[in-house]
Amino acid sequence: MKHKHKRKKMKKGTIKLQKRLMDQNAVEILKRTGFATEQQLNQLQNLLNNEDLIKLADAADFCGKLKKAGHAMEQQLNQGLQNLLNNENLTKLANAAEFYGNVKKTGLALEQQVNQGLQNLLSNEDLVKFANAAEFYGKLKKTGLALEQQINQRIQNLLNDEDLVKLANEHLDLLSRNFRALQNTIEVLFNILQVPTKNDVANVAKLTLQTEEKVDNLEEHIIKLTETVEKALCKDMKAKKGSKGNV
Amino acid sequence: MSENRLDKDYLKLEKERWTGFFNAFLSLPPESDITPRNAIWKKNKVTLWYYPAKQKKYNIPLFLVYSMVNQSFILDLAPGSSTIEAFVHEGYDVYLIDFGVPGYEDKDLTLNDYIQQYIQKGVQRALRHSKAKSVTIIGYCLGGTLAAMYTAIAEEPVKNLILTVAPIDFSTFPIFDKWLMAAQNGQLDVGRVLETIGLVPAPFIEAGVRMITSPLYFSHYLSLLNRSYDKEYVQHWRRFNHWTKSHIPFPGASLKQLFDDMIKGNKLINGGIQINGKSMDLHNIHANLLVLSSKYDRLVPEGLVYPVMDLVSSEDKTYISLEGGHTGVSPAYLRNWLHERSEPIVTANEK
Repeated sequence: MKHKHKRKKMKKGTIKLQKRLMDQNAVEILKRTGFATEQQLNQLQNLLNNEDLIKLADAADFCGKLKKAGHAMEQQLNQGLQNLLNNENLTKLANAAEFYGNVKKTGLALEQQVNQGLQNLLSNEDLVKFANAAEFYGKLKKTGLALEQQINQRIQNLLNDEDLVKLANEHLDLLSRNFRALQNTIEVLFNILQVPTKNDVANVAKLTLQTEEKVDNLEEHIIKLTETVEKALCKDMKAKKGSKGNV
Repeated sequence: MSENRLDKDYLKLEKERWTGFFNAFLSLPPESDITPRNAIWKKNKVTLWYYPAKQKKYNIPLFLVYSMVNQSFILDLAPGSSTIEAFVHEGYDVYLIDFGVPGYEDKDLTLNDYIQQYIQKGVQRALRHSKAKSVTIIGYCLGGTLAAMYTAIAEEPVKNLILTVAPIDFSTFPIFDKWLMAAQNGQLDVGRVLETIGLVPAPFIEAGVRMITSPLYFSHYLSLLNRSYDKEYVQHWRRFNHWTKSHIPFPGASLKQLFDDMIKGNKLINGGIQINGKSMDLHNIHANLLVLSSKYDRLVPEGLVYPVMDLVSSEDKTYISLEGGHTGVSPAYLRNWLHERSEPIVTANEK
């Protein structure tokens, strides 16, 4: 605000000064033509010789010079900028920026194309069939396992019953008595019929096992004996070597 | 054109799926027991198999004891899914005591007989054969129970003991608790019927195991159908399915002892078992102990396995509870534990 006010004041001062300068010429004209008195002319001269008025005139001169210098500088700057913008490297840079912009655009377009392609591929009915089939068998397995566990839990809970334990114990007793009686009857009957029973076969096998046991024990003894003899021989050899060394 | 091709692919997959599914039942299962082995001792039906290490890296051999209710080929099922193969590749000499299939003449064999006549003698033979100073015993399921019982009375040097899903404490059982209570109170006695039958047939054993795990069992067929187009999966499924149906007869005397001493008397915890005049006490176990159990094992739940940890006198004892079922225990967990305790052979380069 202050600056604006000063500028306005300066402008007014400049206009007044120009008028007064015109008036100074006018004083000369008045003097020559004799339109004004000597006293009046002196007063006018004094008025024009005022210091402030001179300062104002110098200021107006400075403003004009400043304006000219400003114009020149503006022209120089514009020229410099134009030269700068005409630089080849700057052109290259601009081209590079454009290139990357194009790359970005192409990339985006490609991404969109790929996405579209993938969506088309995934929405293919056959592929859905494959996926559904794999999913179906996987789900079947899981559901089957869960069902199996549930059924088994139910069966085990049903069987885990005190009355059932008592019933089983009674029946086991009855079953073992009946089986024993049947086995005895078969033994007697097969004996008469001269047919060997499983017990007869087992008894023969046991005889073989007894023999095998004896052979195994004998083998153990032989191995132990062999080891003892080998150790004794080793000791003997060492003792002989020792005695030879002493001689 | 493309629609026709996809239609064909879809039909081809479905055809492969159903062909694979039905073929799984029409032919014999592929062979198991694939790792090279030699029989170094035989007695009755029992065979002691020796699996030499690919490149021996440990001084202490492994002695495997498998369960008495099923066959041991599950430990060497197929290339890439074989416990024994993994051990052999790791550099261990492996010995497996295979109890074979008992006959009617074996009906009087008790658990003590199995321990004394087969396991103990087998360990002696393995030690002599390997010329090792001590042995690592690994027991699976009921084989683990027998291994623990043997270690408690062992005169042989047992350095490490590994019990895999081995039942020890029979005081509680989550399924059929009323049957267990009746047995413990003397209201249920199976002794007489076992004496009468003599040798409990394999289908009875299978039925018993099924009753505890899953009385109705069909989910494995759905698993097969889900992936029956995959030939490798079908091969594995057939092998495993064959094993699940390969139960073996159980000597009546052994089952009676199992019922009386373990289920009824819980004598592994309470004491009172005599083997060859020696008192079998789990406190006598001083070997390094690793106990493995499975979280989802319905046949041998964790509650039956863990109590052994408090009974043994071993200073070095570890308990690991794994994700999985009764047969899902991987040897990978054993690798680090065993490595440190099996006296690795130091080569000249390593020195």
